[in-house]
Amino acid sequence: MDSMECNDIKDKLSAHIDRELSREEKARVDEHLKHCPRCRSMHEELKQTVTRIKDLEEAEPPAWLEHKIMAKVRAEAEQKKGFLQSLLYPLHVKVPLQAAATVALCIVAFLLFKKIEPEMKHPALAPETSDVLNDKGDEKPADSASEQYAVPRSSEPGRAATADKPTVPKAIPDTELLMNKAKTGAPMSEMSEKAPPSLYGYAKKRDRYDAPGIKITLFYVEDQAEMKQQDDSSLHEIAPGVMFKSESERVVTPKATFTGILRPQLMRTLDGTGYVYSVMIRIDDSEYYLADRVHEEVRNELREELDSFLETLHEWTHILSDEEVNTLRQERMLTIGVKEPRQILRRFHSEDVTITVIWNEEWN
Amino acid sequence: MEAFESIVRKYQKEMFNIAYRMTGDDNEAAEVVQDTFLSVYRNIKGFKGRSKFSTWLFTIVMNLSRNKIKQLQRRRQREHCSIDDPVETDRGQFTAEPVSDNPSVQERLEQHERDQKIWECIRALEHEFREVVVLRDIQGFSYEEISNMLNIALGTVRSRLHRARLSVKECLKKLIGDG
Repeated sequence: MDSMECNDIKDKLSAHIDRELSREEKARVDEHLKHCPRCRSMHEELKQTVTRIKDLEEAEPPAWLEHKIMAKVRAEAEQKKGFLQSLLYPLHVKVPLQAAATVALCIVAFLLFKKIEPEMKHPALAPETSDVLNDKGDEKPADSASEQYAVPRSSEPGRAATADKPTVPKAIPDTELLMNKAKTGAPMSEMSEKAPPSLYGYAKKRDRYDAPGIKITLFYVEDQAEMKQQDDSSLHEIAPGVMFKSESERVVTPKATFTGILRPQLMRTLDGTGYVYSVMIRIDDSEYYLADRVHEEVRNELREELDSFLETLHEWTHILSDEEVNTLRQERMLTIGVKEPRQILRRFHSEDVTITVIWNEEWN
Repeated sequence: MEAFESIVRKYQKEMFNIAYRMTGDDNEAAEVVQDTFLSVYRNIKGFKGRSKFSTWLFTIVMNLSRNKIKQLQRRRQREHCSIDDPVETDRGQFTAEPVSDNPSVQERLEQHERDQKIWECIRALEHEFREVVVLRDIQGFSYEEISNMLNIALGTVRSRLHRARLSVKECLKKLIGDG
């Protein structure tokens, strides 16, 4: 038999078994098989293989699966109903009281203090804060070399284009925002209150190794005008439609105001001043989240990016202990205590997720 | 909601089988199925009816399974001994039975072992080849349905399936000595 013909026929054997050949092709294969024992043998072997695969025992889903699916779907339905109802009322920030299951998305590198004692001042350092945003107030791509920080943008198309430009957060007179400088070890730089809202430094107290961190909550507001009417000095708009709320003790998640998908950026940098902050991303099935819808929708992406982050973390194991790395893998969150006098701030960046590695022993 | 519940009841087993055959893990497969139904619930209005509802459903399952596989692979790469290693036994439900003279027990054991080997060979396939084997040989979809679900040409379905089956055949030869 012509081997070229055999090769051609062999490629058709599976489709022949599946009756997916045209009439002409089938006739040709049938004719060939009559006279070619090798191809016939291969045909038979393939048939047996297919039969074996088909005979695999069917898997039974767990008994709880249907119940769990419906529970999630009903919760989703309830949430949608609740959100719609909330829009009919005069807007107020609805703060869920069960803070235990809330999640904080660590997006911005620096912490904003509401009330803080005057900080030691340091000479100003590059990069300039204005570098972070371009002329339109849109965030520039992160540049790890320049240690820039960016805020998350809403992933909703068109929102950034149509929303207002980012405004400077309401002045917090007692706060001095200091910017970290990366591993050059240069002293802290000082940020003025007029710095673009996308760039924050963290404030230091007298003792640079003792500064407490602040948990931050970021949430997206659909109706920004209504949000601005709220007399809540802890709320600041840091990007169009993106509100920032700082809390010294607990994270609050106003579910009712969250409408879109927030896609923070995963960024990486080193801070030579040495603060290490905890990674605060929790991924589980809790329904309390800032916006469960968002949580669910970004969860897969967050997981993938968190996996990338964990890969990167491997390189940093000289800073983190094995136990800490394992905890982070298993629980997707880790509060990193101070291990050395040198404390490091890190942000890990990818297209969709920002994880800021921060430290605050008060959060343990 | 009752209507949705009936959809869940109707399709969950098949979806679970697809997800399980793709990911190799009970828990991950269950999660994929949950995520799929949630996605369906959220996007049901966007279903235009250009394809069969089941095709749409299974496309989502395949996509989420694919994502899950990538996740699992990344986790496994990082860990010497992954806490998320898929279970390669009979889905955790099999308990070692004492040797028995009962022929039906023996037969079950032998069948189980053969199944395990076939399962190993399928799991050893690259995911794009595993997909077509799962959809065609396990779930029984037509080439055209597979082509729509995976968004690949019919010719690609045919060639991938053929190569996948050849790989399984060769793998079985090594494991059990025949094809």
